[in-house]
Amino acid sequence: MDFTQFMAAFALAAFWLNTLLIAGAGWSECAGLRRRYAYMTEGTGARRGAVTGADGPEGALAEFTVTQVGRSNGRGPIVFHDRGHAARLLGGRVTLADGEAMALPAEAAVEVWISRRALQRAAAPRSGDAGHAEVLAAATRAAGWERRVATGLRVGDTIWLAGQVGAGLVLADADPRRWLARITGLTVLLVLGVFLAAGACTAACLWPPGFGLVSKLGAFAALVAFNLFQLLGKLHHDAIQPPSLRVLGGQWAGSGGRAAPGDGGEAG
Amino acid sequence: MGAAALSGPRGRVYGRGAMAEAATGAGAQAGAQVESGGRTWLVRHPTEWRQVGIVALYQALLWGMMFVPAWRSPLVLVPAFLLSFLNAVVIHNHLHRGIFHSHRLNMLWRGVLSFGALYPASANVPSHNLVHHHFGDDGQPDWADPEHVRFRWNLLNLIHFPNIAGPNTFAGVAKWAATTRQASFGRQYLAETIFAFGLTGGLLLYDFWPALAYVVLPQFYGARCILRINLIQHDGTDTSSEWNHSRNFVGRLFNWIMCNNGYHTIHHNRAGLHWSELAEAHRTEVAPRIDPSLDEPSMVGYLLRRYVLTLGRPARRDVAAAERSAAPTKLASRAARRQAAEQAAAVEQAARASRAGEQVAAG
Repeated sequence: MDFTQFMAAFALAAFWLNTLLIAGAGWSECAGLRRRYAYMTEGTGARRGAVTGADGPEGALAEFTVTQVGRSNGRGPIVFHDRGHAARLLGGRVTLADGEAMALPAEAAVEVWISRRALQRAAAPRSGDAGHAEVLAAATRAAGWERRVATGLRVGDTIWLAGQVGAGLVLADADPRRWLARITGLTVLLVLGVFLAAGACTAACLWPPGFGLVSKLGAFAALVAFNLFQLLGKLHHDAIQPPSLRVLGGQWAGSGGRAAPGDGGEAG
Repeated sequence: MGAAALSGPRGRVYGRGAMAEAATGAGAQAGAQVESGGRTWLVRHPTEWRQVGIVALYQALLWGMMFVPAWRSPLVLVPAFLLSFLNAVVIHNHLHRGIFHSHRLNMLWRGVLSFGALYPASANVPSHNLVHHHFGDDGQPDWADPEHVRFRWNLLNLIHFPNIAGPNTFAGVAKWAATTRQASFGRQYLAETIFAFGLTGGLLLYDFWPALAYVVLPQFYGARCILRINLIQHDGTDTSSEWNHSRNFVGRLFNWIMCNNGYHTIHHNRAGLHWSELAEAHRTEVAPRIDPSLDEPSMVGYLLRRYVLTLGRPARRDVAAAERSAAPTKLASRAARRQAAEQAAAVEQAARASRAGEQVAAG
């Protein structure tokens, strides 16, 4: 083995080290989230119910807001990035499917999980919003245009309740165990996917004759995969965030001089 | 976009005209004197020849190993790896303050640097100048925030960090490019990407294995190390503080080689200051206000101690206590500097709009 071949072998080792790290980081993050929300699948788990009373304005039991800043170059879309997520329990009553009634005190610590679709609806421009020209002018400033996307759980809504008041409470508009299953599935996909792809690249790299055409193609594929795996790791990280921290992002496309939901709240 | 793209509020790049607002230190004035008084040939400051030399030497080693088989040895490759990191340091300096008088030459130089690092150098404008310099002040974490990595074995954090910061950076740059008012950014970024990847691809096609071993590996090493430096310089600091947000490496030889990039606190606080002025500014402004643990004599010693000899990640300390007990400073607070930069941007924007209006009226 000459020095060039030694360096090629070194590159393959570095490729595998980083593949292992990306898979390990994804696995570890998912495992941490599963531990944190283990109460959703243990004991009483997540219980279905309905909001039957609320102390907040317009029948709101809890609110969830995403503060966003929109920026534009004045010609293209207004692109939003999230500045912060906040949840607040306003107080009220929930009647669970088994008939048990629960009172939820205002200001107790809570995570409010709103489905992506509902959040995107809340993020889409409405007729009551400021005019496009006004928004665009603000969005082209250095500071951008700040807005609050607000949604929540109201009287009559079906909700899922997991955890306990004062000891980790989640109120969701969909079964939160589906989210747990989803992040587990995505993580298994990530780990299996990168290992399979890395294995295929390695097999090609080592294909006889050593350093022949197939070997070259394998090494080139490994170069591409090395960068692709990093992107997959980021996408996986973004995708498994709890709904209370999920990136909303999105953009408004200018259309005929007025606001139009470019993709309303296209999740970034 | 001017060659001297400056740190400003996230989402904006200031042109050359805004440099005076951001670079308010005495060093910047000294730099301006060099530029206007004793005008140096080609470069804006005589010390820039050191940076040109670093890049020239690095390129010579890459091309030599590629085309002269006798050069293919650890004796050449190891220096090439180190110079690749310095090439990325030059990218950092050049994107804060262009090396050459000529705007066109500065843009071409970005292409050369991009090939050396296998990423478009202009990515530094949003990722470093506009985002990293403000940490989490804009409500979202820095794309290269140390908290992005959370392995218990700290060495793994050091190795893994570029796998997170890299894709964060390029996703962020793409988003930023969609909203920037600097129309030339997209063209320049694309040109650098095509040049860097095109030339590297051409070399891989010409002779795959030498190109992989002696060009691509050094390129990757430098690019990943410059991402890693964010972890090294900020992990365990208080990025919300005025003076204790960064770790400094103050060895003299190290800083000569690194073009003073060891002095990171003052670089953050006075982004317009020329790199040759940083050592003195660190001594007078930073040293009295910084926790002694954030002034490291040696980076090698620090890396060994923090990542090899210690398994876990050290617990956080209140390092900002040092600045609370120090004498007041003349430098405006971060919030005030940010507000001033936003106001300067608004003035520049209004002036640009006014000029455009006048042109329409005249034409």
